[in-house]
Amino acid sequence: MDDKDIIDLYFDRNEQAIRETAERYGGLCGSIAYNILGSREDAEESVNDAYFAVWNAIPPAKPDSLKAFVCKIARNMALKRLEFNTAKKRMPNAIVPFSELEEMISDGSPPPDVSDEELGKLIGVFLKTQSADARCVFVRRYWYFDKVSDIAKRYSFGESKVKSLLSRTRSRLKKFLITEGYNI
Amino acid sequence: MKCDYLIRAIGCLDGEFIDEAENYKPARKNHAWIWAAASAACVMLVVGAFILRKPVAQNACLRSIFAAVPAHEYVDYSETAEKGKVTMTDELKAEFDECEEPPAVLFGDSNMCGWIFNVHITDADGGSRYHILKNCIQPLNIGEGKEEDFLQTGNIELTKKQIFSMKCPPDCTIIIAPSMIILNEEYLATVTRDTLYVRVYAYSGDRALDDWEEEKARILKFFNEYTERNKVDRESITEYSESSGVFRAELDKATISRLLADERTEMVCFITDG
Repeated sequence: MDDKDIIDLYFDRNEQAIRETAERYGGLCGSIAYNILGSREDAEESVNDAYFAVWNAIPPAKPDSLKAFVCKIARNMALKRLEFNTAKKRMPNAIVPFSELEEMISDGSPPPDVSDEELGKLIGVFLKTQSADARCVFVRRYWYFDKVSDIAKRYSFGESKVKSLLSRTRSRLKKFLITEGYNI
Repeated sequence: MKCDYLIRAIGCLDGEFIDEAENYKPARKNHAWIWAAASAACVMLVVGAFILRKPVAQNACLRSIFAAVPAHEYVDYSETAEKGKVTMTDELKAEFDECEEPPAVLFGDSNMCGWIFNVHITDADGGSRYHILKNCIQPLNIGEGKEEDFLQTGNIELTKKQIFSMKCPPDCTIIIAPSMIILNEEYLATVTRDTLYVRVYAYSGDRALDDWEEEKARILKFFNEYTERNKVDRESITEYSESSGVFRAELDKATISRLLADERTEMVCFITDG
Protein backbone atom coordinates (compact mmCIF):
# COMPACT_ATOMS: atom_id res chain seq x y z
CA MET A 1 0.00 0.00 0.00
CA ASP A 2 1.53 3.36 -0.97
CA ASP A 3 0.85 6.85 0.40
CA LYS A 4 -1.83 7.55 -2.17
CA ASP A 5 -3.75 4.44 -1.07
CA ILE A 6 -3.46 5.47 2.57
CA ILE A 7 -4.76 8.96 1.78
CA ASP A 8 -7.69 7.35 -0.06
CA LEU A 9 -8.48 5.42 3.14
CA TYR A 10 -8.61 8.73 5.02
CA PHE A 11 -10.99 10.12 2.44
CA ASP A 12 -13.16 6.98 2.81
CA ARG A 13 -13.06 7.52 6.61
CA ASN A 14 -11.67 4.03 6.96
CA GLU A 15 -9.80 3.67 10.28
CA GLN A 16 -7.37 1.31 8.59
CA ALA A 17 -5.74 4.61 7.45
CA ILE A 18 -4.48 5.28 10.97
CA ARG A 19 -3.09 1.75 11.38
CA GLU A 20 -1.28 2.04 8.04
CA THR A 21 0.08 5.47 8.98
CA ALA A 22 1.29 4.16 12.32
CA GLU A 23 2.98 1.19 10.71
CA ARG A 24 4.70 3.25 8.06
CA TYR A 25 5.59 6.41 9.97
CA GLY A 26 5.09 5.58 13.62
CA GLY A 27 8.79 4.98 14.24
CA LEU A 28 9.84 8.25 12.62
CA CYS A 29 7.15 10.27 14.39
CA GLY A 30 8.10 8.62 17.65
CA SER A 31 11.74 9.53 17.29
CA ILE A 32 10.93 13.15 16.43
CA ALA A 33 8.66 13.38 19.47
CA TYR A 34 11.24 11.69 21.70
CA ASN A 35 13.97 14.07 20.50
CA ILE A 36 11.81 16.95 21.65
CA LEU A 37 10.29 15.52 24.82
CA GLY A 38 12.91 13.10 26.12
CA SER A 39 10.28 10.82 27.61
CA ARG A 40 8.90 7.68 25.96
CA GLU A 41 5.50 8.06 27.58
CA ASP A 42 5.11 11.69 26.56
CA ALA A 43 6.36 10.91 23.07
CA GLU A 44 3.83 8.09 22.64
CA GLU A 45 1.00 10.26 23.82
CA SER A 46 1.90 13.10 21.52
CA VAL A 47 2.25 10.74 18.54
CA ASN A 48 -1.23 9.40 19.29
CA ASP A 49 -2.45 13.00 19.41
CA ALA A 50 -0.81 13.49 16.04
CA TYR A 51 -2.66 10.55 14.48
CA PHE A 52 -5.91 12.02 15.73
CA ALA A 53 -4.99 15.40 14.26
CA VAL A 54 -4.10 13.81 10.89
CA TRP A 55 -7.45 11.97 10.91
CA ASN A 56 -9.21 15.30 11.39
CA ALA A 57 -7.08 17.10 8.81
CA ILE A 58 -7.50 14.61 5.92
CA PRO A 59 -9.84 15.44 4.25
CA PRO A 60 -10.00 18.22 3.24
CA ALA A 61 -6.19 18.31 3.15
CA LYS A 62 -4.66 16.11 0.46
CA PRO A 63 -0.92 16.25 1.12
CA ASP A 64 1.61 15.61 -1.65
CA SER A 65 3.87 13.90 0.85
CA LEU A 66 2.05 12.00 3.59
CA LYS A 67 5.33 11.45 5.43
CA ALA A 68 6.12 15.17 5.64
CA PHE A 69 2.51 15.98 6.58
CA VAL A 70 2.35 13.43 9.41
CA CYS A 71 5.83 14.31 10.71
CA LYS A 72 5.03 18.03 10.77
CA ILE A 73 1.95 17.39 12.83
CA ALA A 74 3.90 15.08 15.17
CA ARG A 75 6.58 17.75 15.60
CA ASN A 76 4.04 20.44 16.38
CA MET A 77 2.20 18.22 18.85
CA ALA A 78 5.46 17.42 20.64
CA LEU A 79 6.43 21.09 20.82
CA LYS A 80 2.99 21.92 22.27
CA ARG A 81 3.46 19.19 24.87
CA LEU A 82 6.93 20.52 25.67
CA GLU A 83 5.38 23.94 26.23
CA PHE A 84 2.80 22.37 28.52
CA ASN A 85 5.39 20.33 30.42
CA THR A 86 7.65 23.31 30.94
CA ALA A 87 4.80 25.51 32.10
CA LYS A 88 3.85 22.84 34.60
CA LYS A 89 7.51 22.63 35.70
CA ARG A 90 7.78 19.02 34.59
CA MET A 91 11.38 18.62 33.51
CA PRO A 92 11.85 16.29 30.59
CA ASN A 93 15.25 15.09 29.50
CA ALA A 94 15.04 16.57 26.03
CA ILE A 95 17.87 18.61 24.71
CA VAL A 96 16.23 20.89 22.20
CA PRO A 97 18.80 23.24 20.69
CA PHE A 98 17.15 26.48 21.77
CA SER A 99 20.40 28.08 22.91
CA GLU A 100 21.90 27.71 19.44
CA LEU A 101 18.98 29.48 17.80
CA GLU A 102 18.66 32.05 20.57
CA GLU A 103 22.28 33.01 20.05
CA MET A 104 21.32 34.12 16.54
CA ILE A 105 18.87 36.65 17.91
CA SER A 106 20.19 39.95 19.24
CA ASP A 107 19.16 40.81 22.78
CA GLY A 108 16.20 43.13 22.75
CA SER A 109 15.18 42.57 19.13
CA PRO A 110 11.47 41.83 18.76
CA PRO A 111 10.14 39.01 16.56
CA PRO A 112 9.82 40.11 12.92
CA ASP A 113 6.43 41.23 11.73
CA VAL A 114 5.78 38.31 9.43
CA SER A 115 3.79 35.09 9.64
CA ASP A 116 5.49 31.80 10.51
CA GLU A 117 4.63 30.50 7.02
CA GLU A 118 6.22 33.50 5.28
CA LEU A 119 9.34 33.27 7.40
CA GLY A 120 9.47 29.53 6.81
CA LYS A 121 9.29 30.11 3.04
CA LEU A 122 12.15 32.59 3.29
CA ILE A 123 14.23 30.15 5.30
CA GLY A 124 13.48 27.61 2.58
CA VAL A 125 14.77 30.03 -0.08
CA PHE A 126 17.95 30.43 1.96
CA LEU A 127 18.39 26.70 2.51
CA LYS A 128 18.16 26.05 -1.23
CA THR A 129 21.28 28.16 -1.70
CA GLN A 130 23.26 26.02 0.74
CA SER A 131 25.05 22.78 0.02
CA ALA A 132 23.10 19.58 0.53
CA ASP A 133 25.32 18.69 3.51
CA ALA A 134 24.62 22.00 5.26
CA ARG A 135 20.92 21.94 4.39
CA CYS A 136 20.26 18.42 5.60
CA VAL A 137 22.28 18.86 8.79
CA PHE A 138 20.33 22.06 9.52
CA VAL A 139 16.98 20.36 8.98
CA ARG A 140 17.98 17.33 11.04
CA ARG A 141 18.98 19.56 13.95
CA TYR A 142 16.24 22.20 13.94
CA TRP A 143 13.31 20.37 12.39
CA TYR A 144 13.88 16.80 13.57
CA PHE A 145 15.79 17.92 16.72
CA ASP A 146 18.35 15.16 16.28
CA LYS A 147 21.36 15.23 18.58
CA VAL A 148 24.66 16.22 16.99
CA SER A 149 26.04 12.73 17.57
CA ASP A 150 23.04 11.15 15.82
CA ILE A 151 23.39 13.47 12.84
CA ALA A 152 27.09 12.65 12.63
CA LYS A 153 26.30 8.92 12.68
CA ARG A 154 23.50 9.21 10.15
CA TYR A 155 25.61 11.00 7.56
CA SER A 156 28.99 9.50 8.52
CA PHE A 157 30.38 12.92 9.41
CA GLY A 158 32.58 13.80 12.35
CA GLU A 159 30.79 15.66 15.14
CA SER A 160 33.09 18.63 14.57
CA LYS A 161 31.95 18.83 10.98
CA VAL A 162 28.30 18.77 12.03
CA LYS A 163 28.83 21.52 14.58
CA SER A 164 30.83 23.54 12.10
CA LEU A 165 28.14 23.21 9.41
CA LEU A 166 25.44 24.23 11.88
CA SER A 167 27.38 27.20 13.14
CA ARG A 168 28.17 28.53 9.65
CA THR A 169 24.64 27.96 8.40
CA ARG A 170 23.15 29.79 11.36
CA SER A 171 25.51 32.69 10.80
CA ARG A 172 24.63 32.86 7.10
CA LEU A 173 20.93 32.55 7.81
CA LYS A 174 21.11 35.48 10.18
CA LYS A 175 22.89 37.61 7.60
CA PHE A 176 20.42 36.51 4.93
CA LEU A 177 17.42 37.48 7.05
CA ILE A 178 19.00 40.85 7.88
CA THR A 179 19.62 41.44 4.17
CA GLU A 180 15.99 40.62 3.52
CA GLY A 181 15.01 43.35 5.96
CA TYR A 182 14.35 41.32 9.12
CA ASN A 183 16.37 42.69 11.99
CA ILE A 184 16.80 39.64 14.23
CA MET B 1 11.45 32.14 24.42
CA LYS B 2 13.08 34.50 21.97
CA CYS B 3 13.54 31.85 19.33
CA ASP B 4 9.97 30.50 19.36
CA TYR B 5 9.19 32.17 16.06
CA LEU B 6 12.26 30.61 14.43
CA ILE B 7 11.30 27.14 15.66
CA ARG B 8 7.77 27.63 14.33
CA ALA B 9 9.00 29.05 11.01
CA ILE B 10 11.40 26.15 10.52
CA GLY B 11 8.44 23.89 11.24
CA CYS B 12 6.72 25.39 8.18
CA LEU B 13 9.45 24.27 5.75
CA ASP B 14 8.21 22.42 2.68
CA GLY B 15 8.02 18.67 2.79
CA GLU B 16 10.81 18.37 0.22
CA PHE B 17 13.37 19.53 2.84
CA ILE B 18 12.10 17.03 5.38
CA ASP B 19 12.15 14.20 2.87
CA GLU B 20 15.59 15.17 1.62
CA ALA B 21 17.08 15.20 5.13
CA GLU B 22 15.57 11.77 5.79
CA ASN B 23 16.86 10.17 2.60
CA TYR B 24 20.11 12.05 2.00
CA LYS B 25 23.31 10.08 1.50
CA PRO B 26 26.35 12.36 1.35
CA ALA B 27 28.95 11.68 -1.32
CA ARG B 28 31.94 10.09 0.34
CA LYS B 29 35.35 11.42 -0.63
CA ASN B 30 37.56 8.55 -1.50
CA HIS B 31 40.50 8.95 0.79
CA ALA B 32 40.74 5.24 1.24
CA TRP B 33 43.85 4.89 -0.90
CA ILE B 34 45.68 7.48 1.21
CA TRP B 35 44.84 5.63 4.41
CA ALA B 36 45.75 2.29 2.89
CA ALA B 37 49.14 3.55 1.70
CA ALA B 38 49.87 5.37 4.97
CA SER B 39 48.80 2.38 7.06
CA ALA B 40 50.92 -0.03 5.05
CA ALA B 41 53.96 2.23 5.37
CA CYS B 42 53.44 2.58 9.11
CA VAL B 43 53.05 -1.14 9.65
CA MET B 44 56.31 -1.80 7.81
CA LEU B 45 58.11 0.88 9.81
CA VAL B 46 56.81 -0.41 13.14
CA VAL B 47 57.72 -4.00 12.37
CA GLY B 48 61.14 -2.92 11.13
CA ALA B 49 61.81 -0.80 14.21
CA PHE B 50 60.86 -3.45 16.68
CA ILE B 51 62.97 -6.01 14.89
CA LEU B 52 65.91 -3.63 15.14
CA ARG B 53 64.99 -2.87 18.79
CA LYS B 54 66.48 0.57 18.57
CA PRO B 55 64.72 3.16 20.75
CA VAL B 56 65.37 6.00 18.31
CA ALA B 57 63.85 4.04 15.46
CA GLN B 58 60.82 3.13 17.61
CA ASN B 59 60.23 6.78 18.50
CA ALA B 60 60.49 7.73 14.86
CA CYS B 61 57.90 5.05 14.08
CA LEU B 62 55.47 6.44 16.60
CA ARG B 63 55.98 9.94 15.23
CA SER B 64 55.44 8.70 11.71
CA ILE B 65 52.23 6.93 12.76
CA PHE B 66 50.84 10.12 14.19
CA ALA B 67 52.05 12.05 11.17
CA ALA B 68 49.90 9.80 8.99
CA VAL B 69 46.80 10.94 10.89
CA PRO B 70 45.63 14.22 9.36
CA ALA B 71 45.46 16.19 12.59
CA HIS B 72 45.30 19.96 12.26
CA GLU B 73 48.38 21.04 14.06
CA TYR B 74 48.02 24.60 15.24
CA VAL B 75 51.00 26.69 14.23
CA ASP B 76 51.62 30.27 15.18
CA TYR B 77 52.15 31.56 11.67
CA SER B 78 52.95 35.09 12.70
CA GLU B 79 56.63 34.27 13.01
CA THR B 80 56.97 32.21 9.87
CA ALA B 81 54.72 33.93 7.33
CA GLU B 82 56.57 35.71 4.51
CA LYS B 83 56.31 39.38 3.63
CA GLY B 84 54.41 40.14 0.47
CA LYS B 85 52.68 36.74 0.57
CA VAL B 86 49.24 35.54 1.59
CA THR B 87 49.55 32.54 3.93
CA MET B 88 46.65 30.17 4.49
CA THR B 89 46.61 28.17 7.71
CA ASP B 90 46.27 24.38 7.64
CA GLU B 91 42.85 24.71 9.25
CA LEU B 92 41.59 26.76 6.30
CA LYS B 93 43.05 24.30 3.82
CA ALA B 94 41.27 21.51 5.72
CA GLU B 95 38.00 23.41 5.39
CA PHE B 96 38.57 23.66 1.65
CA ASP B 97 38.82 19.87 1.56
CA GLU B 98 35.47 19.52 3.27
CA CYS B 99 33.43 21.74 1.00
CA GLU B 100 31.57 20.49 -2.03
CA GLU B 101 31.22 22.11 -5.42
CA PRO B 102 30.15 25.66 -4.70
CA PRO B 103 26.51 26.61 -4.97
CA ALA B 104 25.45 29.97 -6.38
CA VAL B 105 24.62 32.42 -3.62
CA LEU B 106 22.48 35.48 -4.13
CA PHE B 107 23.18 37.99 -1.43
CA GLY B 108 21.13 41.18 -1.66
CA ASP B 109 22.21 42.96 -4.80
CA SER B 110 25.44 41.14 -5.30
CA ASN B 111 25.64 37.86 -7.05
CA MET B 112 28.32 35.75 -5.46
CA CYS B 113 29.19 32.32 -6.64
CA GLY B 114 31.04 30.00 -4.41
CA TRP B 115 31.27 28.44 -1.00
CA ILE B 116 31.50 31.24 1.56
CA PHE B 117 34.20 31.05 4.23
CA ASN B 118 34.15 33.27 7.24
CA VAL B 119 37.84 33.94 7.62
CA HIS B 120 40.02 36.04 9.80
CA ILE B 121 42.75 38.09 8.14
CA THR B 122 45.78 39.08 10.14
CA ASP B 123 48.59 41.32 9.12
CA ALA B 124 51.44 39.86 11.11
CA ASP B 125 53.46 43.01 10.67
CA GLY B 126 50.88 44.93 12.66
CA GLY B 127 49.79 47.05 9.69
CA SER B 128 46.34 48.55 9.86
CA ARG B 129 43.21 46.79 8.78
CA TYR B 130 42.37 49.84 6.73
CA HIS B 131 45.57 49.35 4.74
CA ILE B 132 44.63 45.69 4.09
CA LEU B 133 41.09 46.71 3.21
CA LYS B 134 42.24 49.22 0.63
CA ASN B 135 44.98 47.10 -0.90
CA CYS B 136 43.83 43.52 -0.58
CA ILE B 137 40.09 43.29 -0.01
CA GLN B 138 38.56 46.13 -2.01
CA PRO B 139 40.20 44.94 -5.23
CA LEU B 140 38.18 41.73 -4.76
CA ASN B 141 35.01 43.78 -5.20
CA ILE B 142 32.93 41.99 -2.60
CA GLY B 143 30.53 44.81 -1.79
CA GLU B 144 30.54 47.61 0.74
CA GLY B 145 28.41 46.18 3.50
CA LYS B 146 31.10 43.86 4.82
CA GLU B 147 33.93 46.35 5.04
CA GLU B 148 32.81 47.91 8.30
CA ASP B 149 32.62 44.49 9.93
CA PHE B 150 36.11 43.69 8.72
CA LEU B 151 37.55 46.92 10.09
CA GLN B 152 36.08 46.13 13.48
CA THR B 153 36.77 42.42 13.73
CA GLY B 154 39.27 41.36 11.07
CA ASN B 155 36.65 38.83 9.94
CA ILE B 156 35.14 38.77 6.50
CA GLU B 157 33.27 36.31 4.29
CA LEU B 158 35.11 35.35 1.16
CA THR B 159 34.68 32.67 -1.45
CA LYS B 160 37.42 30.20 -2.20
CA LYS B 161 38.05 32.02 -5.46
CA GLN B 162 38.45 35.35 -3.65
CA ILE B 163 40.77 33.84 -1.08
CA PHE B 164 43.04 32.51 -3.82
CA SER B 165 42.97 35.79 -5.76
CA MET B 166 43.89 37.96 -2.81
CA LYS B 167 47.10 39.88 -3.40
CA CYS B 168 49.41 40.98 -0.64
CA PRO B 169 51.35 44.26 -0.91
CA PRO B 170 55.13 43.90 -0.38
CA ASP B 171 54.99 45.72 2.95
CA CYS B 172 52.41 43.35 4.50
CA THR B 173 52.31 39.80 5.78
CA ILE B 174 48.81 38.36 5.47
CA ILE B 175 47.63 35.23 7.25
CA ILE B 176 44.16 33.84 6.62
CA ALA B 177 42.50 31.40 9.02
CA PRO B 178 38.90 30.30 9.61
CA SER B 179 37.38 32.81 12.02
CA MET B 180 36.25 30.01 14.29
CA ILE B 181 37.63 26.51 14.90
CA ILE B 182 35.62 23.98 16.88
CA LEU B 183 37.88 22.43 19.47
CA ASN B 184 38.28 18.85 20.57
CA GLU B 185 40.96 17.15 22.68
CA GLU B 186 42.86 15.89 19.67
CA TYR B 187 43.24 19.37 18.23
CA LEU B 188 43.93 20.92 21.62
CA ALA B 189 46.85 18.55 22.10
CA THR B 190 48.56 20.06 19.05
CA VAL B 191 48.10 23.68 20.09
CA THR B 192 51.40 25.40 20.81
CA ARG B 193 50.00 28.51 22.46
CA ASP B 194 49.39 28.69 26.21
CA THR B 195 45.94 30.25 25.94
CA LEU B 196 43.18 30.48 23.36
CA TYR B 197 40.35 32.95 22.98
CA VAL B 198 37.22 30.81 22.89
CA ARG B 199 33.47 31.00 22.77
CA VAL B 200 31.76 28.44 25.00
CA TYR B 201 28.28 26.96 24.51
CA ALA B 202 26.83 24.89 27.34
CA TYR B 203 23.43 23.29 27.84
CA SER B 204 21.72 24.97 30.78
CA GLY B 205 18.53 22.92 30.82
CA ASP B 206 14.96 23.47 29.75
CA ARG B 207 13.69 26.94 29.06
CA ALA B 208 10.91 28.76 30.86
CA LEU B 209 8.56 30.30 28.34
CA ASP B 210 6.93 33.18 30.10
CA ASP B 211 9.06 34.80 32.74
CA TRP B 212 12.07 36.41 31.11
CA GLU B 213 13.58 37.72 34.32
CA GLU B 214 13.30 34.32 35.95
CA GLU B 215 14.86 32.75 32.87
CA LYS B 216 17.83 35.15 32.90
CA ALA B 217 18.39 34.48 36.58
CA ARG B 218 18.28 30.74 35.99
CA ILE B 219 20.79 30.91 33.14
CA LEU B 220 23.09 33.12 35.23
CA LYS B 221 22.92 30.63 38.09
CA PHE B 222 23.87 27.84 35.70
CA PHE B 223 26.71 29.95 34.26
CA ASN B 224 28.10 30.65 37.75
CA GLU B 225 27.98 26.99 38.77
CA TYR B 226 29.37 25.77 35.43
CA THR B 227 32.32 28.18 35.45
CA GLU B 228 33.06 27.56 39.11
CA ARG B 229 33.00 23.79 38.75
CA ASN B 230 35.35 23.99 35.78
CA LYS B 231 37.62 26.53 37.53
CA VAL B 232 37.22 29.20 34.86
CA ASP B 233 39.03 32.35 35.85
CA ARG B 234 36.29 34.99 35.89
CA GLU B 235 38.70 37.74 34.96
CA SER B 236 39.39 35.96 31.71
CA ILE B 237 35.73 36.28 30.61
CA THR B 238 35.22 39.16 28.19
CA GLU B 239 31.61 38.66 27.08
CA TYR B 240 28.51 36.94 28.41
CA SER B 241 25.12 36.58 26.75
CA GLU B 242 22.34 36.74 29.33
CA SER B 243 19.80 35.18 26.96
CA SER B 244 21.79 32.07 26.18
CA GLY B 245 24.63 31.80 28.68
CA VAL B 246 27.20 31.72 25.89
CA PHE B 247 30.44 33.39 26.93
CA ARG B 248 33.85 34.35 25.52
CA ALA B 249 37.08 34.07 27.43
CA GLU B 250 40.86 33.77 27.06
CA LEU B 251 41.49 30.34 28.62
CA ASP B 252 44.45 28.08 29.16
CA LYS B 253 44.47 24.57 27.74
CA ALA B 254 43.84 22.87 31.09
CA THR B 255 40.64 24.87 31.58
CA ILE B 256 39.51 24.16 28.03
CA SER B 257 40.09 20.45 28.62
CA ARG B 258 37.91 20.56 31.71
CA LEU B 259 35.16 22.28 29.74
CA LEU B 260 35.40 19.71 26.94
CA ALA B 261 35.09 16.93 29.51
CA ASP B 262 31.95 18.45 31.05
CA GLU B 263 28.98 16.67 29.51
CA ARG B 264 26.92 19.86 29.58
CA THR B 265 29.35 21.53 27.19
CA GLU B 266 27.89 21.65 23.68
CA MET B 267 30.77 23.33 21.90
CA VAL B 268 33.99 25.23 22.55
CA CYS B 269 35.12 27.33 19.58
CA PHE B 270 38.52 28.90 19.13
CA ILE B 271 37.96 32.47 17.92
CA THR B 272 40.94 33.27 15.76
CA ASP B 273 40.58 37.03 16.01
CA GLY B 274 41.17 36.83 19.74
